[in-house]
Amino acid sequence: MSKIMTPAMEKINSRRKGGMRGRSTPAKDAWRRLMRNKMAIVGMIIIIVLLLMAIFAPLIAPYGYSDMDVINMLSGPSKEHWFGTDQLGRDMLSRCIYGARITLPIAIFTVALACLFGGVLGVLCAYFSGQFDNIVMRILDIWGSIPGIMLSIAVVAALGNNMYVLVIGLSVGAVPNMARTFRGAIFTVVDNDYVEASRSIGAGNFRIMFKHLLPNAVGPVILAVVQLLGVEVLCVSMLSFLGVGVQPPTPEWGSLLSTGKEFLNTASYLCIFPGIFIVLTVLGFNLLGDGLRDALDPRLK
Amino acid sequence: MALLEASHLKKFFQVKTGILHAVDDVSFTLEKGKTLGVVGESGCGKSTLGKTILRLTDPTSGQVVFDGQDVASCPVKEFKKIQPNMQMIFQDPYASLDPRLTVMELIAEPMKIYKTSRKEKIYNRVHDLMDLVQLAERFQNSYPHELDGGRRQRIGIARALALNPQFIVCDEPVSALDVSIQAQVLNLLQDLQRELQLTYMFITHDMSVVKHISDDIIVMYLGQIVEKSPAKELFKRQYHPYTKALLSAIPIPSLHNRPEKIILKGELSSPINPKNHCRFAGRCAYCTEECKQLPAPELKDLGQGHFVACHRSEELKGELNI
Amino acid sequence: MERIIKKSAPVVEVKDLVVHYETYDGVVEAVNGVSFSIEPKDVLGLVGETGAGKTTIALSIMQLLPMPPSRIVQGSIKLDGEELILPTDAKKADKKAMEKKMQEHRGKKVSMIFQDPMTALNPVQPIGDQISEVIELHEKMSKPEAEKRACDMLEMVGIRAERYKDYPHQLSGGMKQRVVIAIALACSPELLIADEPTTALDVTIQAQVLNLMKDLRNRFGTAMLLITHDFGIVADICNKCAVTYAGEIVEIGSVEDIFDHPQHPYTIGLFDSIPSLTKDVKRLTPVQGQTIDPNDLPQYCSFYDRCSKCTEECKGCSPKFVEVRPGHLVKCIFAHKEGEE
Repeated sequence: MSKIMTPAMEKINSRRKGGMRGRSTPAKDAWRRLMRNKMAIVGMIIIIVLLLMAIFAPLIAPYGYSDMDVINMLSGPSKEHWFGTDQLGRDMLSRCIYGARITLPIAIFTVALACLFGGVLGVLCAYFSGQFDNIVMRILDIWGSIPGIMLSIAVVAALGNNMYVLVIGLSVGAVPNMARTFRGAIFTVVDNDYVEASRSIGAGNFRIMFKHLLPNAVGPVILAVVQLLGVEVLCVSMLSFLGVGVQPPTPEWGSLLSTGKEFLNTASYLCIFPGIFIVLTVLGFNLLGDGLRDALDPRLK
Repeated sequence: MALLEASHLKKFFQVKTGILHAVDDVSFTLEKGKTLGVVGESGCGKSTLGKTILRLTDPTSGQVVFDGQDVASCPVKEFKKIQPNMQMIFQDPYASLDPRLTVMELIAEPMKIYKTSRKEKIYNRVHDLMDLVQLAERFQNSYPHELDGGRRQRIGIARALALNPQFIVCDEPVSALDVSIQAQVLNLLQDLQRELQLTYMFITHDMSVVKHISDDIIVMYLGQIVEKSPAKELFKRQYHPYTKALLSAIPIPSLHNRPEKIILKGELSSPINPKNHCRFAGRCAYCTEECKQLPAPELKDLGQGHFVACHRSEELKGELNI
Repeated sequence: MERIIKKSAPVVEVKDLVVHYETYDGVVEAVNGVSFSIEPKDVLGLVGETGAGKTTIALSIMQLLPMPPSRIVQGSIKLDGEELILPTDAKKADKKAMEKKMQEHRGKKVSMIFQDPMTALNPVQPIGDQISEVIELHEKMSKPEAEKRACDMLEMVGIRAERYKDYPHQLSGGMKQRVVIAIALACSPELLIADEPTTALDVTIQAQVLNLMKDLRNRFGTAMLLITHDFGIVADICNKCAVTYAGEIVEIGSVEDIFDHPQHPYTIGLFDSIPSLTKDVKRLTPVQGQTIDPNDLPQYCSFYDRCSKCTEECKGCSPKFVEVRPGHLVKCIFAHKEGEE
């Protein structure tokens, strides 16, 4: 039967001639699917912009975050101050930009810490199963039933009111969920024959868990990490709003909201702009998270 | 000289509804350089038997003597020294290979774990192994999903050979492969056995494959051996009704000389909390009231290495082999 | 094809079917010009290995191919004389109308049994209801009447009617497959497509199920398209056989033709590579090489790389069917009509 050339085949052939015959791995497939999702790309752009903003804050912000322009106290958005000034004459735009420098690192470190502890716990639970799993999961259930914000406040109250303690406090609240995510992810791969094959060639538990199981279970974990980042940004803002962790004059968005709420009637822009930043950040992570979930879903292949 | 001897090996699992008798009092000996075929259908315990022998799961009771040493109950540290001698080839050539590792990494891993040689030497040894299993060198950086079933199974075989084992459990190594590739891999396994003086335990449900490759065969049903015999003997004469039914059920790829099919009635009974009589009683065409009352039959020696576990073996000898 | 017996209209007639799967990485040429027909009461065994395109052919007849990524590039499938494939530029309304017609046909004119009985049944619906559902969809019957017919079907496949309200998880693999067969035959279809129906079952259960299928085939007179990789099953139940490789039928004929007088090197190679229960062979003769990548089919004979009888001539053309005996077609340039040279 002589081959029939269809338009699709010609397209593939010309792509191949152009040297694009790469080996496709599941990771590359997922990336391609992600790139086709417009909302996910929007989310990614938002996050990249915010990250750049945080990194290059001193270069981008028109003023320092505590520079006071006393004459123009509480003035609305204008040419000199795009986002207006607060009650001490500080430029809101600069304070919002510097705010990214506070919120994002705290959120990132929190998630990293939660991944470390929750991850190890989750992997151990899924691998060893049985009584160990039962006991640890029940402890995590109790731990997780305490609202994260309450836990964080308790930790800060115990250890001192600064940013580092805030990170610890927030991650304590996030560990149970992370542990459950890692545990669930490992469960999906722990039954594979290659686990037993590794045992038969002499691999120890540690090697199997961290070299074979974890890298193969990474999909749901990446998704949870991105979603948790969004959640933690919100949590950081919530706690700063309550005066926990970040103290003025540090320009964290939540604490900006807190000071701004006194002036809601007269200078609502003091709340609107930080609020927009919070919303945008969380939105960015959520959009990326949704896109990732679709991209990693094997059934949509 | 017996390389491997299993005595009264038992493996039970605790499940919600009771105790699952996966392997129930299995004994056999395996000589060096020979192949023991283990046949049976799903639920007969053959895979569990293979894993128990390699101590991938600890036996509930019984002994496994490998090269003079009891490997079933020795401390883990001792066992780790013997483990390189006893390896396994798995059934599913995809699920048994970590999809994130390349061919080179997969075959090198056992050597890295046991630190058998230095890096450069490992690299060369992997190439030698790939040669041995007829896997072209150009695949060394490929991932399992880029190769077809036959090639993936060769990776599994190469990995099993990496530590120079004496004994390999082959757990349905060709069941997941296409017919034309099956023959290639079976030939390879036979060649390797000859070249490297390997001893095999070959687990399968396919009677024609087991006939081709085994020296001796044990037929399992619900965790117990029902018949044990040299391979050639078994296909000439069967003394257990289950073996007879199993053989007759195999679809023959020929339009001539088609034997009468024995259709077994009913389904497999449960291996959980089994009753203490012959486990085949419910489905056996020759079952009597006595069979349902007497305890489970022991393996009886019928001569010439042929054993059968059936209360009526003497009476049925002639009837089963007209 | 000349037939001495009375010629009746074929239940299904496939002509020059070409199906592609269009993926980002390449176009998979799943089916490349397949033609066959199935008469009433025929059982055609479609034999081949993974990637030969057998399931794609079956799904094309059922019009269940996911489009995209699959595409029926050309060809015709006639079910009981009715053309199922619309031209590529067909209007949306026509496509919708065809789909509606197919929904009426599926279950009534043509039914399919899939490979894995474990996942083929709805886990939250009693088995009896799953059978009566099909009956209610296609026959004008009241619910109690449909339920009675479902009970009859259960008895016919060897399951006691009292188990009507049982759920799939309460049944073993063999029994689940029997329920699947009952659903498929509930409305007495003219064609039953069975895609490796016993591969997932134990050998002794397989014997039971094959026996049942033979019995029902005789009772209902249903034609069957049986997809398998096992020649033993073909010998047991089929009267015609087609051997596929790389999306093409390389040899087709009655089972006597294929088993007693195989001509194509692939067919012969397959028979030679099966370990035999009767003969004692030291070493098997496998078919050399690997299954061809359907992304990358050559213009000439697809079996060239693995063929033990090929020559330079084989590279020059694409082989066509040769009728070596009446009804026995072989796609090889070295095949010749019996008696000729």
